[in-house]
Amino acid sequence: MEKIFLQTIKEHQNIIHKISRMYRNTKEDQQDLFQEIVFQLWRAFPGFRQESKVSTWIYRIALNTAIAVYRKSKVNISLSDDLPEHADLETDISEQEELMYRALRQLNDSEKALISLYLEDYSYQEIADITGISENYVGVRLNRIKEKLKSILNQK
Amino acid sequence: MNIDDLKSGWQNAGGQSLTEKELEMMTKIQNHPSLKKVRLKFIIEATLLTILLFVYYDGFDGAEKPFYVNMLLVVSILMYLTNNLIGYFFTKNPVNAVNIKQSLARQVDTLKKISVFSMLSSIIYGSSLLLFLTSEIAFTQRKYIILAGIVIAFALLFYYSFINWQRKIAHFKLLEEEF
Repeated sequence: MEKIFLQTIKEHQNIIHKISRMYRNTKEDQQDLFQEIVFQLWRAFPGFRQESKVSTWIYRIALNTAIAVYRKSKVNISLSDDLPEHADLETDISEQEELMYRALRQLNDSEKALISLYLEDYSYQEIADITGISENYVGVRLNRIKEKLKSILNQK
Repeated sequence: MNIDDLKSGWQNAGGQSLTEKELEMMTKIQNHPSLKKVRLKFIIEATLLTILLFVYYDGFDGAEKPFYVNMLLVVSILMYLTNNLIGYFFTKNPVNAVNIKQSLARQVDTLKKISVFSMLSSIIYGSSLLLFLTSEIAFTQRKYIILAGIVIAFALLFYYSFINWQRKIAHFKLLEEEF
């Protein structure tokens, strides 16, 4: 079972990287969250009945974990408008990608969950199932979030 | 960058690749980022309190104190350790319901229950310790002043703990409302 789990996570680890980068500001916090999500996925794996897509299951656990782990509010030092002069050698994140995460991090936790699912091309029905809000409300919320994101991106 | 760029950017992002070996390490509880700290704190406290339970009767004149004072001290220490254990299991199992909204609702509910037990066990533990130390001793004015200082310090600690719990519960309540 462990072998299947590790193969599955290896194939879908992009999801966990993206959620970790969106929900945490510092590299250390992102690594901690990544590790916490993998740990929670491993614990939940025996109960995964393949009734949904693997990626949907990973998104559900990953978002739940990112939101459920309480962090004391810290002074946010990574939201400056300036990009670092040197790219992060370890992660090789492009400038465009860093801009995207910077914009997404300005949303609140619920907005982050909804927009990440939207950006991943999930249907309103699937987003409603994962988040627990109604399908109609998903549409309303996403329109507001898109407007908010547009104004964040236009500030750049 | 517009929303469409964001969409393609998101779908192409996250290009790191950890090996199966690295991922396997992350499934082990001893490598868990926050459980390591919680477990260390629990082991240290449990060891010190167990030593206290073994030595207090002779070392702190437990034999000269009333039976109910001794009993209260032992029960309060056990309650305090139980509370630490509950905290450990809660950190290990953040609530994962079928959807995020339900998960948050359960989390608020669980946190409320845990906070009540945690506050109660801390207050009982602190009070029992004070009762044990002050029982059967002759008070002087100096001792009353020291006692007042300890009571104020305890009260401040309880208040700080209460505020922390309230902040945590309010955080998840707000999140639940945001969905």
